[in-house]
Amino acid sequence: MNLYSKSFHRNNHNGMLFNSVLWLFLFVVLLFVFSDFPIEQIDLIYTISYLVTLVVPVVLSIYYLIPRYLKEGKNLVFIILLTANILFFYGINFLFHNKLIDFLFPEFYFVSYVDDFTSLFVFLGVILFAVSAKLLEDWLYLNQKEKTMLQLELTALKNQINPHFLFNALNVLYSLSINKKEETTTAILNLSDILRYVIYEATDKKISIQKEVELIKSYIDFEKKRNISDARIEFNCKIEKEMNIYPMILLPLIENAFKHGLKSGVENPYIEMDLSTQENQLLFTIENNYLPMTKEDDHFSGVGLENVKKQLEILYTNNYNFTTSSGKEIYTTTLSITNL
Amino acid sequence: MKTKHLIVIFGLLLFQSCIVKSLNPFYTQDVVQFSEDFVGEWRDNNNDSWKIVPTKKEYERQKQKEGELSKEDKAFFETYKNSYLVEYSDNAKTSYFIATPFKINNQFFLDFIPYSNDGKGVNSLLQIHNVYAHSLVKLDVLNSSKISIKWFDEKRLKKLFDERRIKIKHEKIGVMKEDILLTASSKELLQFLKKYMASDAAKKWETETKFTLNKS
Repeated sequence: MNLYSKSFHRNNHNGMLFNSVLWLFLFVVLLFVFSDFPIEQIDLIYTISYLVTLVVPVVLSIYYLIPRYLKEGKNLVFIILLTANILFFYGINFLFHNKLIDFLFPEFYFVSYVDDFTSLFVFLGVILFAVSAKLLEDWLYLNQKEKTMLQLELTALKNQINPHFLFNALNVLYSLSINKKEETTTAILNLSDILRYVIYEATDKKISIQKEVELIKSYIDFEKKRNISDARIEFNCKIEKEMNIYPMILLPLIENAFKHGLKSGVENPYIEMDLSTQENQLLFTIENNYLPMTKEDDHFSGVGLENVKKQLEILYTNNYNFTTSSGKEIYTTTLSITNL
Repeated sequence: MKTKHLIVIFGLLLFQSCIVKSLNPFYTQDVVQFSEDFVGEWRDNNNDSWKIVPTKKEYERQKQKEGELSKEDKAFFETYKNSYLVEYSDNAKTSYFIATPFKINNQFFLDFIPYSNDGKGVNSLLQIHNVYAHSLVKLDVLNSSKISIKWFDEKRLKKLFDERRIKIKHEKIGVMKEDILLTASSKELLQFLKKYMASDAAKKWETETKFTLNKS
């Protein structure tokens, strides 16, 4: 996290870069304001010297008044102090700027640049522009930072899911091998396919929903190899429109149904899964029976489900609906995602 | 060609020389300072006559002569209450100017602007093309009966423009845009003058348009 933060700070909230761009822009604008064309040496001298008188009020505004008052919500104090800042330094400029450049450059006659009234507007304009630029830069930085934080959180969640999934899969393999089942080898191949998907394709980028369906089918085949011959497992898939979704959203829900339904020891176990897409909407429901056991073992306590909820919140913030309901022995999970 | 210029100063020889001209006066009210030293009748080195009368005195004379003055006349005398009326006559022509004295760092200057002429030598078509401009004169009292007046020469200003060492509002005028007419405000002109006075430029007051006046 620290490495990410430091790297981000260095690249996107660089004071040196911000100031270089700001002052270069101000220099060019003022040069245009003060000069007749062609631009002469006298115009450059005047513009630079005028800009120097703006350094202190601008720096004071963006590095002291904004963080100290505006960001603390003291808006009125900020406005009063900003106005005082502009007027005070305009006064300094008014009293000393011409005298100073006349002293420093006795051979030049800086007469008709800006009158007092225009100069006040230049001061006002430059400082307000600098304040606005700083606020915009801060806003962009915070926006990007928030996005990066969400990505980091998502990665962390996925890093939690993968070991969780692997742990469950190894349990399956263990139960197959301990019974010396013939299906052990094909189960290992199944698992290999699933892991390839989970490790290499389940990134932050969206994938085709068909790929997710193939994964689900592989996973169901893998689970079927366990001794669950009396179980009824149905997966109905009706994809009317091809679309892309974020990976590893659906699989943890199925995994949850297997773990807490079929493996709970319930009689006549079943899992019914329906996946459909319509226009820009995806609907996925799972219904399974289960044998209620201890509180810690209920459907809600799994790390997998919690992670899915967090992922959904990050990836589909206002465009998803995820509900679970548990009856006496029936557990239903419904997920709909819109605006895909 | 000079007579076709926008700034036509009645064909007077002195104004055929290149002097710095301005749309606005070279002074602001706070530096105006009346001096009796310039008042009187003078003769220059060409034996031309210069008759200098304070506008206040002329105001009183007009008042006595005509009784109540018109609103326009009153406004005129109020505006130029610390100025002089200058009557300049050579052998053939007489011209009138308003000269306003002002002082910067103990140096007297006069702001000259044409006021009227006797109409000789200038036809009416030419006259209606005239635009009166202000000019700057450095005034030095040499002794109680001798003064020197030197117009600020345009060459000095052109040199600053040529060397790109000055930024002051101006327009190029004349048929070939060969002359400079300053359009800066009086405040800016004063700012320029102060710095020019302080400069160590050699020949800064050297001019072709200069007179030494002796009291007659």
